[in-house]
Amino acid sequence: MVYAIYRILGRWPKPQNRLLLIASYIFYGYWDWRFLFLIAASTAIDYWLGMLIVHNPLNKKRILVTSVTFNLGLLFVFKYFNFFVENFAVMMRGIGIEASLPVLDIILPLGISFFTFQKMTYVIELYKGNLEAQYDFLDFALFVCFFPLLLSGPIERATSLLPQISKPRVITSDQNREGIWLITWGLFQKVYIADNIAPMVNTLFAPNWSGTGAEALIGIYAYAIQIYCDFSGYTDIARGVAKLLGFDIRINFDLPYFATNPSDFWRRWHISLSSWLRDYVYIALGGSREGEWRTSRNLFITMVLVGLWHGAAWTFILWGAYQGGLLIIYRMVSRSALRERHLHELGLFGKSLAIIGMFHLTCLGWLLFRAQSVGQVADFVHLMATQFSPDPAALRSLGALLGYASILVVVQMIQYTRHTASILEQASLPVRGVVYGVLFYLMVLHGGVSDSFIYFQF
Amino acid sequence: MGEFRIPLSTSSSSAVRVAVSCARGLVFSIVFLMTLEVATRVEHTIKYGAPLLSRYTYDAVLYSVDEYGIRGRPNATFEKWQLNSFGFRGPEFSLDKSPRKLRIACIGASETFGLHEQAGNEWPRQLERVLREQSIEAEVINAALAGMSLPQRLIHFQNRLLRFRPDAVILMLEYTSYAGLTPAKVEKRLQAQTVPLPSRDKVLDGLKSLRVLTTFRYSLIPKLPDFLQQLVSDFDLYWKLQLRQRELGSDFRSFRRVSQFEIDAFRQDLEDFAHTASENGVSLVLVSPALWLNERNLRLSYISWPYIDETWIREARAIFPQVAQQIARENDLPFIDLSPVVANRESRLMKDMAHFSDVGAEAVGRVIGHEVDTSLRQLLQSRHDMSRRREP
Repeated sequence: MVYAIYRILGRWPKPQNRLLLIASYIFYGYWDWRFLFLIAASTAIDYWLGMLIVHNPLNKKRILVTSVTFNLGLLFVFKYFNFFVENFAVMMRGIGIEASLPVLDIILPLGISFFTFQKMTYVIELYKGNLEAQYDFLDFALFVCFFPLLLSGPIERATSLLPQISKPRVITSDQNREGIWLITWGLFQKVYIADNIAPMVNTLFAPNWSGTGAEALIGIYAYAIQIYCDFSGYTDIARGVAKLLGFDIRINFDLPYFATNPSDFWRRWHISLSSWLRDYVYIALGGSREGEWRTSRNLFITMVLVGLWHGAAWTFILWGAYQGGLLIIYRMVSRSALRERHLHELGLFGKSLAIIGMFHLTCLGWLLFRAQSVGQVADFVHLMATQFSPDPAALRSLGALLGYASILVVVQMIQYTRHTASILEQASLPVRGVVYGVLFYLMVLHGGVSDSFIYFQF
Repeated sequence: MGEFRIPLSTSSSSAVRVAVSCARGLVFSIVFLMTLEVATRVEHTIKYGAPLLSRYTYDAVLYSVDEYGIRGRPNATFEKWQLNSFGFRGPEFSLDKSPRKLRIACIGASETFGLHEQAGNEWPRQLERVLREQSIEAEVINAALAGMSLPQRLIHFQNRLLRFRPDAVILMLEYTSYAGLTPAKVEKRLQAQTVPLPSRDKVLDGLKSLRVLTTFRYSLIPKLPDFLQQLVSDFDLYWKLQLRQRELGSDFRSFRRVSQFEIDAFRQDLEDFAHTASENGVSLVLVSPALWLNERNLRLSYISWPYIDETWIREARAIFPQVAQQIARENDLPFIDLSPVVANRESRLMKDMAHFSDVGAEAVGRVIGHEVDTSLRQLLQSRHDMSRRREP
């Protein structure tokens, strides 16, 4: 219904924006209406701080610090307060002091990490002078809560999204076609692949699981596929919906499991977050300009923050530290034997080897990411090292995993070799009909059951 | 030389554009639907052994016909319905009886076979569970097949089931038992009333041969929100009734009274059942069904039984259970009436006029289990005594 009215209002961007704003607030309030006040209030504060920057250029640094403190403070209260309090209490107990500290009995607002980071780009870019102030408060509110991006991103920059909101949008048939393809492919990744693999992964990471190292390894492969399809699926749906509304949203995943090294991986995985942290944290810390040690330190801090962004748990911090460690090691060794140039010289074989190696390093990271505790990580690694026997149960799981992932592999191979995400761009009408038919069939008749997207919790 | 172009006015060029778009949309839709149909058929061929190209319905995959009429196809599977190597729904069992277990066969139609229940929840399986709870070791065979009329069941019992040497047979006398217009019965009725045989509607028939529609009906509709499910169901019911009405004209719902012929045939079949059971030392239990009569369920029944009117159904509900009860009394057979079991709980226990939900099947299994408890214990005791007498 929203879409129909939106198209009817096609020539008037302002009414369209108001409609999208109402739809976005209803969408968010449907989950929990109380958090509408939170999102509205934080929008108003950042709008006001933005106006202050425009009108007080001499104090703009102080205003920026206020804005960043406010936004990170918001995240801290809702997401990290209890984690820090609990760990502080443990630390105090370690030195013999029994501390009874208060914890907050609050639920984490959906998508808070996404819309907070998105909002922050506005004030930061205003400060840098890369953006003109948005005077229309309602348009700014739409930028913060644009419903396709609200819950799980991509984290769109103010420099990219605000101009699209302000200008009239033209929706072409090519955009419609691409939007429909993105939605279908995103749904397929989520409903058919991720949701069918989820039970396998949930069984593996259940506290009382027992099995062989081979089963554990296949379970970790399964999680690698699940988290990718779950998150990339959501992103594709969001981009597709935005495309149908005439918005162009940046890609968030660029075949990440085809990465040949850790640096390449972070250019392909959750691009909107990694580039956000690169631009606003890594470069702000000095980037790679101040020598080897400082570069490594900056990389490490940035990646720990990536981990912490995902949630308040030691496993996330460890995962971030692991990714930081990989990047630092890669920087060190890439100066010698494993340079990308050398990999190219090795040809297809070398590249395949690098892709497989990097995939396994990523999988090890996913183990840290998904594990319930650090102890579970140790158990899994021990199991894989000492009891690796490919039993029938492991082979069955492998068969199921390959079955579910086969279409993904085929599609990504085409995307990789053709260097394009739109594999149906050149396809004839009957071929499109067959592809949509097969995807629809598998989704509807063989889709899995799931409550929500993994990244909603972040 | 310049490119030759047909000069088009603005309005005609936009008309061409619309026409091209429509044509493209049509081609896409046809290919899309064909892909769904081919995918369904390929999957059904691989999973259920269904024919790839010819028409088939779920009963064509599950059933076959031999000299004694329809029977379950051994080891056939379709969607949630799985038959064992003897062609019965349920787990495998051996031809040889265990001396420590009673063997009970349940005979009936779709209500017993299990139409809406999840696999393993149909009432014969629930009965087995209840008996186990009551510490009665019994092996329950679901020997029902959807759509089986009473005469067909009698033939089924006499020629197929007796070789399994059941200790007891529970005969569910569902609506199909007395409304089952088998070709033979209709022929007889035709002679009496000169009513034409219902011809299969061409539109319905054509749509039924599209596997994808049936498959999506089972898979997609239950996933829709309740109000949409209701909407689809209402629409489905409406147009099917329209087709039936158009097809039969004044004969639609023309059976308004239960004829003496039907009562006599029913009585005769039941007496034959009782006689065969007693001759073969099988304890027969008669179960009278529950019917949930409301406007919607009646309308649904007119699709499968288009000649039968509400007045016939209401009369039948009063007459046939009485006849069954009378025969039970005359032959000293246990008789269980399910009407009080579902009374005032129909919406929870039943899915339509005659079929049970999972909860309903459990309630039926429980009631039958309690009702037959004493007689089954006596059976077990007599078998135990017999085996002790045989011991040296």
